Order: sequence, then structure tokens, then C-alpha cells
Amino acid sequence: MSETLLAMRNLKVHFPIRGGLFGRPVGWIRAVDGVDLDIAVGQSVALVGESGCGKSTLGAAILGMQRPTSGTISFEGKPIFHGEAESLRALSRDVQIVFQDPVSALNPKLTVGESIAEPLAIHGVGNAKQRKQRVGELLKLVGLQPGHAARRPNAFSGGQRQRIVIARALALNPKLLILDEPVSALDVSIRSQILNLLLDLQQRLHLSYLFISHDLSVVRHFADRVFVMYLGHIAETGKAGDVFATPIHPYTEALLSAVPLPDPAAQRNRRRIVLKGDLPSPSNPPKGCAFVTRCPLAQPICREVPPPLVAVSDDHQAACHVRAPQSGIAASSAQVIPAGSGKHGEPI
Amino acid sequence: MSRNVLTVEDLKVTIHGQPVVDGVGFHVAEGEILSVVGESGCGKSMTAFAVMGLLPAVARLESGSIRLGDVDLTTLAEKKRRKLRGDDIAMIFQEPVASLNPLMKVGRQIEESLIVHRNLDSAETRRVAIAMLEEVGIPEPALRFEQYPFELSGGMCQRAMIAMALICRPKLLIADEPTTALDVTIQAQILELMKRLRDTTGTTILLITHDMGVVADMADRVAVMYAGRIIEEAPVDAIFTRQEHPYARLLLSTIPRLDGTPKTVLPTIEGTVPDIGEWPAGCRFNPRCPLADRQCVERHPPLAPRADAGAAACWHSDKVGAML
Repeated sequence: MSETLLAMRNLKVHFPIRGGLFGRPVGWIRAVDGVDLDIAVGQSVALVGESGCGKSTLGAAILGMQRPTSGTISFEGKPIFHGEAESLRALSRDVQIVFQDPVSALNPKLTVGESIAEPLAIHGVGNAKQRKQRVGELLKLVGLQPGHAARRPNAFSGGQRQRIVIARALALNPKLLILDEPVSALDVSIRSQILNLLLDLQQRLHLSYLFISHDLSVVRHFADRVFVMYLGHIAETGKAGDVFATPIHPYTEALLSAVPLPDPAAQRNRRRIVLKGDLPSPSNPPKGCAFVTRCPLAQPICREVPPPLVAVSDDHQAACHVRAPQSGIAASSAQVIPAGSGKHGEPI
Repeated sequence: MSRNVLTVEDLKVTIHGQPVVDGVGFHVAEGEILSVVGESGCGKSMTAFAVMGLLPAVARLESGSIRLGDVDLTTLAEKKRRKLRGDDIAMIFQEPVASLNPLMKVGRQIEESLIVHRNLDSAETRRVAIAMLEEVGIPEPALRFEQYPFELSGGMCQRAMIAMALICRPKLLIADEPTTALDVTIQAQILELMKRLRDTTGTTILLITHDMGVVADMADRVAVMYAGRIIEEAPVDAIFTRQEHPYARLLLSTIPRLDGTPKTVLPTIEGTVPDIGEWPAGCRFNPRCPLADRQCVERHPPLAPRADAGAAACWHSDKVGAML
């Protein structure tokens, strides 16, 4: 097992819903509600889920931009203190982020060189001349030319701007890059260029990635390990190959079956599990399993008790009373619908 | 062969004199789903707006014909055209939440087409609208009828839009990126709904998208657009099996796939999509094309029949198969 870079334990991020007299909280949105997540050195970890599942909030908590309600995050064994400026400053050298939309992520009034040099200046790295040289190196690293430093963002296409954003994120030699939907805003013909670049950079610089995405085809291509998130909870986690080949949680299964394959013949022969309804509001989550309102396999126990993450095989865990029963507790309901029987994957 | 509901010929649209749609022609048969695929700026949405007669004020329809059945829409008086819009042709848009009027109850927005196009009494209008909401799979339709768009989720708003579009049983439904703004499980619901409606009502659908997965799932026939032109057009199985235009071939090969080999280097298309007004001479894909030669720079290739079915616009279509 390789060395752990980041360890998150029982992380919770709750947002107050203000209202009532004097703006007191009248309720809580449980954006992230008890998440354990590890990232090893050089590993690509993908966080998948639909809008509102808490994946971006979780990314923000790792960056130090969002203070957790409870739980811990440690980086290289040292805990991150979200209240302490010094701790966050040290963290920002090691953890950087690439956002979805490169157009809004770059200041249009700064030259590309100024944007890339900004983190260096903030952290007092080198003098002006050294910084300029570093900017040139970084631009070459992402497939642009040092001469591009003098231009402003509007001189570049979307794909090139995303390269610039990546160069800026790499300026301080971070160990972990958070990639929040890094190709979703790009033209389809440009996406593969950026994905190839990110894979290449990872090998050359031995980077770890936290890849936040709703695009499962991209995640399949990119990730070593996958965390499937639903309504603030981890529904399933495991090696990417295992999760994609044998999804355990009915949500993972539905999510995978919902992605249309770019292959009409294969697509006609697939059985799509169409989930009923929408994601429940995170301010009023179901009492038991978060997925119970849409789950085709739901049992009485699912409405009452939140399922814990249970190992279903080596390094593959799922939180489901039916498919991944805890020894003892849910054994009876597991027998009602054994995984792989007729009900398995039946469209509703 | 069933008759064509929509026939577009040599359509040209300009914005401030710059062409955005440049000689596009296609037809859609009754009950067929034609998917128009392409990247941003290729002119696919402008083509849809031209058919709908909703081009933005800066855009100009320069030439070409758009026929709905036997009626040429381009020469029709605006008053008559308005009669068709929402009745015979309807459209659903990418952003369901932004496309609904936030100040008007959902039910009232769905009734609007009925009030304009059908002469029903108010009780009957309401009954038909609620039945439509139920048909598109909105639970508690009578309750939703009385609600405002903000009280509905994104998927529900898209269903309401579809209900609005289909209320007068149009012959042609134009869907412009109908699921792009939605999550994948909600996308699955909406795609199933559109297919079911096509199967039960025989609605013809012009589906505009950039997602090859959605195309493979939905389309009977596909037209690929690049820089204002259709560069390849064929039945869905044919075009996914074999492409005769390098752009279509590369576009399909660059997409990471659920059933692909992870972590491999993906094929790329060099360069970027040219901006409107900066389209190169000759074949517009030539600066990015690995097969380009002098002929491609000098002369624009016409759409020529493919070996099987459909057509492609490439001087070197016989070499495309061996490209990768």
C-alpha cells in the first residue's frame, strides 16, 4: 500500500438555513454528512455524484475554503486547522484547484504571466526574474510557449485557458490537485487534449488528483479509485475497475446504466435503470438510507436505519442494507432480494 | 418511405454579415428522430432557431428554404407563421428553469398554447393541461399545475417544458440540448420520456446535441455539423460503425468511454474550433485535419454519397477509415 497523502475522517459540513427572528438557523443543510476519504501519493481519486450531492463542498473543505462542522482532515499526517491562517497558508502550497470554467477562473485584466506568477508572489517564492523564468517553464509544461506570458486570457481559446489555469495551479509544486469538472466546460474535441495533459503531468510530477465529476466515462478513464456520493454520504467506494465492473449500491448501478454509450448497437441491448423522482432536499434527508426514496430495492429497514459502509470484497465497500448487509442486522432483508436474482437491475 | 415532415434546403444565416449557417440542408421523415451534432459555434442551434422562426434580431436568414410538409416557412407571413409555432412546430430548450416564466404558474404556461391555438372553454383547457402534465410523468399534476417554476426541480421543469411543447400535438418537436443541464439519472428519465412520446404519438423530433451517447441512444439518423456546414450525414448505425469525414471519425474516437481502456492516451483533434468569421477557405476542417492537402485548402468538398447510406463532405473519404 502506498503512502497516504490525505486522510479525511467523519467529515461533516452543515450550512444553516437562516430565517426566523434575528436570522437564527431554522434548519441545516447537510451538504457533507460523515465522509471518510483517503488519497494516496500519486493516486487519482474520483468523487462522483449528481448536483447537490456535496462533492464540491467536500473539495472546498480539503482546500481550506470551507470550514467543516466536525471531523478531521489531515495532510501528510498533519491535521488541517481551518481556523488558523498559517495552517491554511501552508496547505495552499500543497493543495491547489482547477475549476470547471477557465473563462471565469482567469482575471481578464492580468496577463497570463501575471496570473501564473501570482501564487509565487503571494508565497514569496524567488525574485521577479526567477518568477518570470518559472512562468516560462510552467507554460512549456502545459504545452504552451513562454512567449504567451505577455498576452491576456482573451487571446486564448477555452482549451488553452484551461492549460493556463493548470499551469497556475502547478506554480507552487503542489502535491494534490483538486480537479473540479476540469473538462465539462470545454468543447468535446478539446477534452481529450486536456485529459491527456493531466495524465501526463501526473506521471511526470507524481501528483495526486481528486477528480470531482459527474461524467462517468471520464472518471472511468481517469481514476484509480472512486467514491460515489449521494446526498452527503458515500454510497460506495472501491478501485475504479471494481466499482465500474461490479457496482454494488443500487445508486451506482443506476448511475452507470444511465450513461448512454456512444454505440447505438450496444445501447439498444442495455437495460437502463430509470430512477424515479429527484434527489431529496439535503435540508430534509430521509431518516434511514439517503437513497431510500428512489431505491428499487428498498426494504423496511432502509427507511429506519442509515446503512454503514460495509466491505463487500477486498477494498470495495458499499452502504446498502440489501446488497451489502452487515453481519447480523440486515441478514433477513438480504435474503428477500439476493444480489443477482431476478430483481437485480430490473427497470422500474 | 414515409413523407418528410421537415425539409431544409441550402439554408444560410448570417450575423452582422458573417455566415453562421452556410448552406445546410436536411430532411426529417414522419416519426423520425434526426440528431444534429456538433460543437459550440457550429451553427446547430441557429439552424434550429431558423426552423422555429425565432432567430435573434442580429441574425438574418439570407437564403434557402424551410418546408414544413408542403408549406415553405421562409416565405410565410409572420402572422401565419405564428399560427404554426406552438401548434405544428414546438421547441424545448437547454435551460428548463430559465426558459419558464418565473412569475407565471406552471399550469398557466402550459395552457397558453391551447388558449392561443385551440378554442376550448377554460375548464376543458385546464383538464387537457393537467392530463398533459400527467402524461409527461409529473406526479400530482393538479398540485403542480398551481405551482410556480421555482417550486419544481430541474427535471420537473424540463418535463413541464415538454408538456408545454407537446400540448397541441405538434408535427415537429425541436429539442435543443434538452438534457445538457440535467443530471445523468434525470437525463435518463427525460430521454425515456421523449422516446415514449415519439412511439405513442408519432412526433417527429429534431434533436440538437453535442453528446454522442445521447445521439446513439435516441437518433435514427445523424447529421454532423462543423463550422456552419453539415459534413457528414447517415443512419445512426452506419455513422457509428464507419465515418467518411475525418472530423466525425476523430470526434467519435476522442471520447473516453465506459467500456474503453482506462489511462490510455486518447486520440486528439489538434487546434481549436475556429471562431465565426474566421472559417478557413476550402474545407473548414483542413487546418486541423491530418489528411489535408492542397485540394482541401483550395476547394470546399461537396456532400457526396457515402459507400453505404448517407453522405460525407471530404475529398479523401476513402482514406478516413485507415486514419487511426
